[in-house]
Order: sequence, then C-alpha cells, then structure tokens
Amino acid sequence: MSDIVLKNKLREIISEVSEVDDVPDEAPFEDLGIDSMMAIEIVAEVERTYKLSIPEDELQEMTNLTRVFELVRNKLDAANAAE
Amino acid sequence: MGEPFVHRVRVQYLDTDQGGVVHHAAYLRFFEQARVELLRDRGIVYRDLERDERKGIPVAEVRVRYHRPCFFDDVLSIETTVGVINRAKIRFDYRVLREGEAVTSAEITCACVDMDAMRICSMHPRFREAFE
Repeated sequence: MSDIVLKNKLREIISEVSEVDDVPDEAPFEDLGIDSMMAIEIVAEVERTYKLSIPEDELQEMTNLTRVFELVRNKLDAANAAE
Repeated sequence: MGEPFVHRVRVQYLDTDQGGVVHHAAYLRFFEQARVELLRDRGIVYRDLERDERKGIPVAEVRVRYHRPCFFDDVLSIETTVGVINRAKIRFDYRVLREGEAVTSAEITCACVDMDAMRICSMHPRFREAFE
C-alpha cells in the first residue's frame, strides 16, 4: 500500500470517528476538537482496519495524522517483513 | 445488551428541591449508585479497582431526559444496561421507573483513567470481559 493511499485512509478513519471534516496532516488532534477518548476510538478503528495491535504506551504518541501514519506505516512494514 | 440490572432507591427528603420534586442533580447520584451496584453484580468492586489497580471510570458525558416529576418517599427502580463498550468507553443506559411508569431516562458515558498518571487509558479488560 502506498504512503498516499494509507495516509488518506487514515484521514478518512479519523474524520469518520471524530466527525471532523478537514484533518490536516500536522494539525494537533486537540486543536481539531478530538479529545483523548475519541483518540482511543480512532486507534481502535485503525487496529480493526489493519489488524494491528497498538500498545498502551504508544497511544500518547498519536497526536496528529502524521504521527498516526508514521506509527501505522512502521507496524505494517514490520508485519510484512516478518511474513 | 441483555436484561437490565435493577437497583431500587427510595427518594429521601434531601433529594427534593424547593418545588417539592426530586432535584435534577439527585438523579446523577441515583445513576452512580446503580452503576456501582451493576459492576458489583458483575464481579467488579469499584472501590477495589481504584485501590488495587489504580483505574477508574469517571463520567465523560451525561444525557438525561426528565419525563415526569418524582416526589419524596417514591420508590424508584433504576434499570441499567451497558449500551456501548469498546476500548475507549463504556456507556450505561438508564431507565427510571416508578410503579412501572418511565419517569426519567439517561445515557452516561465513562472513560477509563489511569489514576496515577491521571490520563485516559484503554478500557480495563475486566469491564470488557464483564459486558461484551
């Protein structure tokens, strides 16, 4: 999956869960009105979509779209390398 | 999600306001009592959870609809079910009945919090085991 496709899919997930129409790459979730509970819902949806497990200590790092993308990209790459 | 858990309360004089009806805020206490008893019924003693595991489920959102007034000495049946539970939250759905008549309904959403770090965390597995 290309970076653009992945990032746009993540943007779509964040937008759907949070009901925020415009999710710029670097905008802090807090500034978009996405609170910590909503952020966990986003993580849960990302886990379901990509069959990933995101541990508790990494939740706090997911503060904007770019950070979510980097984390998911790394995990998908690691999973592919392990296959 | 299954049969509602029923908790009964008798309205005390201090629950009422100057107008002689149950004050709107008193219901929040009734809901909390019902929630704690529901958890106990499912094997989760909230005091122990806070003390031993340092996890809590504070209220994040409240929606209440007051359909009919209630009065001193009324006996209310608080029906509680878990409407939603996922990694982020647990939502308790309430219906308050007086002699079979629905007088109030509510939805209260709680998050899970790490009490030492004082920040939100994933829902404690025991809640998901108890209600999913």
